[in-house]
Amino acid sequence: MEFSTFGIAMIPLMIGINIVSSYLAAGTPIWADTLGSMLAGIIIGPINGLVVGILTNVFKWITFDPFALPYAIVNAAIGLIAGVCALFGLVRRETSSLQVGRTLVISIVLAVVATVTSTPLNVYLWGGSTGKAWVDAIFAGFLAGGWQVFPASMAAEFISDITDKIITFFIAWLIYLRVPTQFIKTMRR
Amino acid sequence: MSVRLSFIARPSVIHELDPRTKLVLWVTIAVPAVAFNSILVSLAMFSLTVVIAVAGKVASTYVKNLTKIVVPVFIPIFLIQGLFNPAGKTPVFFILPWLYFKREGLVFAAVLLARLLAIFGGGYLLTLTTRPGDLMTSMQKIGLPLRIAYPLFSAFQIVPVIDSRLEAVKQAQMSRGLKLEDIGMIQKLRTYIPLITPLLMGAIEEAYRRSIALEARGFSSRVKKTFLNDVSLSRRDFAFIAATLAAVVLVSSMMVALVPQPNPWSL
Repeated sequence: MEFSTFGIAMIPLMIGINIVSSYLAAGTPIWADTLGSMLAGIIIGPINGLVVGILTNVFKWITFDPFALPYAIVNAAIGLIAGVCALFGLVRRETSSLQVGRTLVISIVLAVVATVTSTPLNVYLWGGSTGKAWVDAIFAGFLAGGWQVFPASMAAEFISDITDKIITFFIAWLIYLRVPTQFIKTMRR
Repeated sequence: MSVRLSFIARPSVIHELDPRTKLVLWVTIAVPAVAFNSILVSLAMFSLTVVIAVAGKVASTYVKNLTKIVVPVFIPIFLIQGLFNPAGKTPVFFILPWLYFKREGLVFAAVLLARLLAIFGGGYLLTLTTRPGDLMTSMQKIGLPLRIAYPLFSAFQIVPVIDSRLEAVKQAQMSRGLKLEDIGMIQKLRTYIPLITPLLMGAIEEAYRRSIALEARGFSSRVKKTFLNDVSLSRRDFAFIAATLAAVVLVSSMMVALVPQPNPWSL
C-alpha cells in the first residue's frame, strides 16, 4: 500500500495539501503546514507520511523558500509518528470520547516531537527565533526573564507547537472521519 | 497564491554545469561557515556565492530575493538578541536606563546572519540555475529511487492544480452558505474541514487515475529506465569543483590567519 503505485501517486497530492493548508493558515496563530503529512500518515502509512513530509520541504526549497530544507526533518517526523499511531489503531473513524482522548494524546506527542526536532535548528540557524511574531515575543519574554537561549527557545517553540499540533491533528482526524467509507475501501483494495 | 519556481533560464556557464557539480559546490562553500563559525569566513563564503551568481547571470535576483526574505526575519532577531541575549554585557545604545542594546548580542546576531547566508546561499544558487527536471535526473543518478523522485517532480505540476481546486471548493462552499470572509480566527479554523475534505477526496480519486496512467507507462517495471534529458559530468565540471575548492581553502585560511586569535568576531 505505502509504496504501491497508488501510494506514490498520492504523495504529490498530499504535498499540495500541506502547501495550501499553510496558505489557509495565514492570519491564524498556527502553521498547519503538516496537515498533508498527518493525513498521508493516517490514511496511507507512516513511511508515506515521512516521504510527504520530506518532499514538502524539498518542494518549498526548490520553489519559494531557500531556507526550508533543514525543517524537512520536522515535517517528516510528524508524518511518521502520525502514521505509526494510526498503524497501531490509535486513530479510528469513530467519535467516542475515548477516541477524542487518544487524538488529544497523539497531538501532544506530535508537539513534543516537533519541539525536539525543530528547537536545535531554530537555535543554530536563527538564534532561537521562529519567524512567527507571537512566538518570538514569548521567546523574547523568556530571555528578558533571564533564561538561556536554548531553554527559552524550546519553551516558546513548545507553546506554539502544542497549539499548532492540537489544532492541526484534530483537523486531520475530523477530515479522516468525514471521508466516505467507500473511498477508504477503494483505496485499501 | 501561485507556485513559482526559483529557476531562471539564462545562457550561462553555471546553468550548463551538472547539478551534481553545483551540489558539491554548495557543500564546499557551506563547510567552512559551519566549521569556523566566524563572521569573516562566513561573509567571505557568501561573497564566493555572489561571484558564482554573477557568473550565472542571476546575481541581481539572487541578492534581491535573499534580502527580501532575510531582512524582515533579521530585524526582530537583531532586536531580541541585542536587547536580551544572556551573553550581552557591553552597552551600545540606550533606549531606557534598563533597556539597552548590548554589543555581544548584536555580534551574535551578525554571526548568525552571515552564517545563514553562507550555508544556504549555495543551495539557493543551485535551485536558481538548475531546471528541476535536470535536478531530478541527477538525483536519480546519485541513487535516489524513482519512487521518491517521481512524486517530487510531479508535485511541480500538481500543487498548482490543488491550489486552483481549493478555489473551486471555496466557491462551491460559499454558494452553499459557508462564510469565508470577515470571520474570526476560530471560525477560520473551522473552515478547514469543509475546504480540505473535498480536496482530499478529489486527491484520492486523482491518485487512483494517476496510478493507472503510470502503470500503463510501465512505472513499476523493473527494466532500467533511461532519461529524456540526460545530464553528465564533463571536464568543465571537475575544473569548477577544483577551482571552488581552491578558492574556499585559500579564502577561509586567509580569514582565519588574518584575524588575531582568539577571534573576537566568532562566537
